[in-house]
Amino acid sequence: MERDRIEKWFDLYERDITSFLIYYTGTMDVEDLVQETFLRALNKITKFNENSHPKTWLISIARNMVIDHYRKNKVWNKVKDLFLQERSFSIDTEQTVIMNQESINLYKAINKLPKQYKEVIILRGIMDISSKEVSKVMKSKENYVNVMYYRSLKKLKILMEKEGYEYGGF
Amino acid sequence: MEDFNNLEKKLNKLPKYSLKKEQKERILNSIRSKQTSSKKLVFAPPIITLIGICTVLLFLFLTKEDYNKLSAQSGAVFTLPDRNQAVLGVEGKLGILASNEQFVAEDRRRGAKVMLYFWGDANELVGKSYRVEAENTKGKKVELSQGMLSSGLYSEDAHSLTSFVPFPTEGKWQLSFYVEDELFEAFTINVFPPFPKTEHYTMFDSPKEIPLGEAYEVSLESTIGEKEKIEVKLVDKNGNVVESVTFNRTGNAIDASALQSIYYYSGKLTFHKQGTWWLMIDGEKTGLFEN
Repeated sequence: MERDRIEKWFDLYERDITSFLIYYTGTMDVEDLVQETFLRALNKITKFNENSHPKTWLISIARNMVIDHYRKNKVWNKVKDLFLQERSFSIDTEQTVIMNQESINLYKAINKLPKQYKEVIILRGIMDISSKEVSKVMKSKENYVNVMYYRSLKKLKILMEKEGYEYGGF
Repeated sequence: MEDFNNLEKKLNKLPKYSLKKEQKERILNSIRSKQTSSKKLVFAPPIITLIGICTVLLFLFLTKEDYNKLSAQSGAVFTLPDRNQAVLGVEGKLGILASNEQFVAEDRRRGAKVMLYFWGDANELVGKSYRVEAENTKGKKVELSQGMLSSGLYSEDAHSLTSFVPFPTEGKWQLSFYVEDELFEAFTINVFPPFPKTEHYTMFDSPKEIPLGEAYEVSLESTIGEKEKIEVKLVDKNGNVVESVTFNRTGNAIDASALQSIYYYSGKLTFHKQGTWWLMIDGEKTGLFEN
């Protein structure tokens, strides 16, 4: 029964989890992370609060998994820049072919944001998740999420202008 | 408060990604087979990670030449100054003129008639043999074309009218142009996934080229043509029929390579957003595809 439920959620939310992990880690190679997210969800399904939205819960698992990973592996932390740089190269060269130039510029600017700003931009802006749900993922208050989101948008706009990207209409 | 509506709209329009079908199947299998250990290799202990990174770096070092080979500049579309033609390649060096400069895996049409333009020293080019070799990131190699170069037609110094063998798979491919077995120029292109197809029908517009939110005229090719009208359903990945459209037969022709009749159908489909879809064409199902 539990497995059926996870399979159904996989069908419904795989795209959300994959997109979140790709933007959050900056690499396209997220198959293992997606798998680990759903396997962890299967292990923890008895703790799932039926009032929660499964998508929010799954994104929380994915996010915590990535954070734990970086926190625990200090050696990894020391070399991750080198490694992630290499991996994020693939999203720049291959995937951006299907993005238009404006999206590429936006994507690059997002990657320059401080970590927390980037996180709230991915969740609220790209994934279109409500402030309330984002506050559950980030374990913060809804009001704080709104403030962070506003600051992130402001910072993102400044970054875009600083880089001289054209994005008319503000 | 500043107005960030446009920025928010742009953020929301950034592409969403889904794993490939085979990746999804692998994950579903591991869910089904209860491989629920959270100690999977994803978060290996630091020492194993370090060994892994060293192995990767060693591998990259040992295969540096091959790796570099695939890191040629990206090909660009540019317009020839002396005629209104858009070509793909490297300005001032090499250009490919095709019916559509975006190649699609397994597709014969777009590479069926290709003009290659070379710029350089005419004495070193005209009358010389050339070949075009494609190599992808997995090291798969295909010879796309070979022949002799003729003198330039316009501003270019040499040209050849040829056809390309279809690219077997989608993704990044590096095209290397050799003249008399010496590398003349190389650049990379991105090849789109194969056209969605069923047993008898093949769509020949790439879903990735169809603009969002527009009723777009889509063409199908069929090996059966007894029906004047067929029903085409656009279905999302959850199995919901998003749109059901009647396609009309618009003509027929003989496929010279297979010596069989082929029929053309067309109708308008609308993709309102990016996502994963499949089509039910005249009761036949295509594989999943992304737009």
